[in-house]
Amino acid sequence: MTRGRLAGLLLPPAGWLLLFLLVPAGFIVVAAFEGGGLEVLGTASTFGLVRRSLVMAVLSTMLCLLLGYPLAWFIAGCRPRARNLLLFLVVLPFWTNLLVRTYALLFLLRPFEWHHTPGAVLLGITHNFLPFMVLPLYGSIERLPRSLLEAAQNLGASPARAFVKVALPLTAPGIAAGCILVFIPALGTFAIPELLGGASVRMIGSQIDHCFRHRDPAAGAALTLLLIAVTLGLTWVYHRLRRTGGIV
Amino acid sequence: MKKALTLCLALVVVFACGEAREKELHVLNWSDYFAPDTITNFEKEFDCRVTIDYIESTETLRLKLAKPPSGYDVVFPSDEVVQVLISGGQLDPLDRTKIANFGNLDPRFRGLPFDPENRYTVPYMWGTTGLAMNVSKVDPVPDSWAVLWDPKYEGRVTLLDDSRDAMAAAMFVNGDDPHAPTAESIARARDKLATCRPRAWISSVKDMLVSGDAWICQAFNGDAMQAGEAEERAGDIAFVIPKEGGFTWFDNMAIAKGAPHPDLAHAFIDYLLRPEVSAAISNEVCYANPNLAARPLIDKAQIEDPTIYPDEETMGRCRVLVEPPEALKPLLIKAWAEVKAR
Repeated sequence: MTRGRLAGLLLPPAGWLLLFLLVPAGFIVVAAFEGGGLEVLGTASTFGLVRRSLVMAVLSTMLCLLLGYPLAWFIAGCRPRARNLLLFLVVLPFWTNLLVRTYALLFLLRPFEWHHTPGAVLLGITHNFLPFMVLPLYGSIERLPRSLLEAAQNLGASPARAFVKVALPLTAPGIAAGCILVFIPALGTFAIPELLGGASVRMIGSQIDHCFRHRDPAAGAALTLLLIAVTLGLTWVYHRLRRTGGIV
Repeated sequence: MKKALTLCLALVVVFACGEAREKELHVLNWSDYFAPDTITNFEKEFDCRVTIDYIESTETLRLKLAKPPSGYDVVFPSDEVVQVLISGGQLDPLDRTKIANFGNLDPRFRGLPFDPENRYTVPYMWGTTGLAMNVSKVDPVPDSWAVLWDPKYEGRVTLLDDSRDAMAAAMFVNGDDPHAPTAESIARARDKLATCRPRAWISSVKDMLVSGDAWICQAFNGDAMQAGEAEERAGDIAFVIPKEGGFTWFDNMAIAKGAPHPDLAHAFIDYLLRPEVSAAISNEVCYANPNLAARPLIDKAQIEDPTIYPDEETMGRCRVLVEPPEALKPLLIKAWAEVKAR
């Protein structure tokens, strides 16, 4: 009885997912294979596009980590009331639409002629996805017992060594989760390189948009499949690492 | 109770009839493309209601008309989609006996290549595609499409985000004829475009010119004019049709397949061709008007503006870019996607 009811409760979300996630994904797969779209994956221009997108996504993920780790560490060390306020401030930018924030950056960079450059796109991506890095890092760091660090230092480890040998491994799950949460949307981001990059820093998301707008849906679908494959691959690696204990 | 019900029913019947008797014309047009009183005057004269939906791109228009009947009566396709719409059966032929004012059109603008006998379309407004530039940054004023490849202006030029226009500019520079593309000339244009370093691929260049991001843009003359009207660029913006050639474009009036009100639709097109109506529109929107009878009523400043009405010699260099042959379209799409991916 209860089981039946549970199943009944599950039906709407399952149906929703099936209808709006799996069915379009099926269309994408069919479109990619049907129109010979996969050919586009072998061209030199696609190779350059993917390489550029990967470089931008990796760099911005590293920047987010470098900026986010000290920030999360600092927040985790604050008193509980201050913590809540600071975490609130971290997610505050999400109250404003991405386009508005990206245009704001554009107008900010324009007087210095820093827009339409790779650096501008990097700044835009890092700025937008930083909260995705800080939140999981904070979760990991907050659970890290500070006494372990004190013990390491009492036993003769320098603060740096204690951090590398004790804190980093214990917060690895947060680092991994943060990196994946930033990397995946950064790789597929569309509006930020369009606005801040101009024609010089085109990323894969812009090209997918181009293909669907300029009557080449097969190629657009193939590039979309590529993005999905990267996403699934990374998620698989993440779960694999967790299971085999590579990260706790 | 029963009485009240009967009364309600009667009211419903009365209103339903009233609704049915009121004629409603559905129009699909670009925004800001009528004079303020164009529609209200038509509604008064023909005792009907006009509902307008707006499109912001040719692609939207294609989608809205994809499955006739679309519910629209009069639509305003640009020349680039007219042939696609005709061959796709998405337009109804015009009954020219109901469009007496067709004769007002300048003979030069009748029987254009995309609809040689005006069986489906009547030109509404027209313009040119050339180079818009910020003359305070560009010296000397270029007269060739080749300037888009000039290292001096690398990262300061933009090209239209449209395969036909961008490829055509490259074909002109390569010495190929953009009006008769071949597989080879498309490949050459692709390789040429791949060496171009534009600021952006963009179709509405006004903001690019006004902000100073770009100095030379492949552009429609209307965008160049609008950029020139901005305070910070007053007197800085020039529009040039390069020596190799430019393009003329036309927005047209047509009747959608299965239009619910074909008679009223014809009446609307005929109305828009009246000299005073047509002139009022072009005085408002500042595009060139193909209506010869309307010409005496158009603002003199507009008639004398070479950006709007180029001289005969310049006009001689401008042609409508027709659809490439079906067999070449996949090539063009692939080549264009490769250029954009760079």
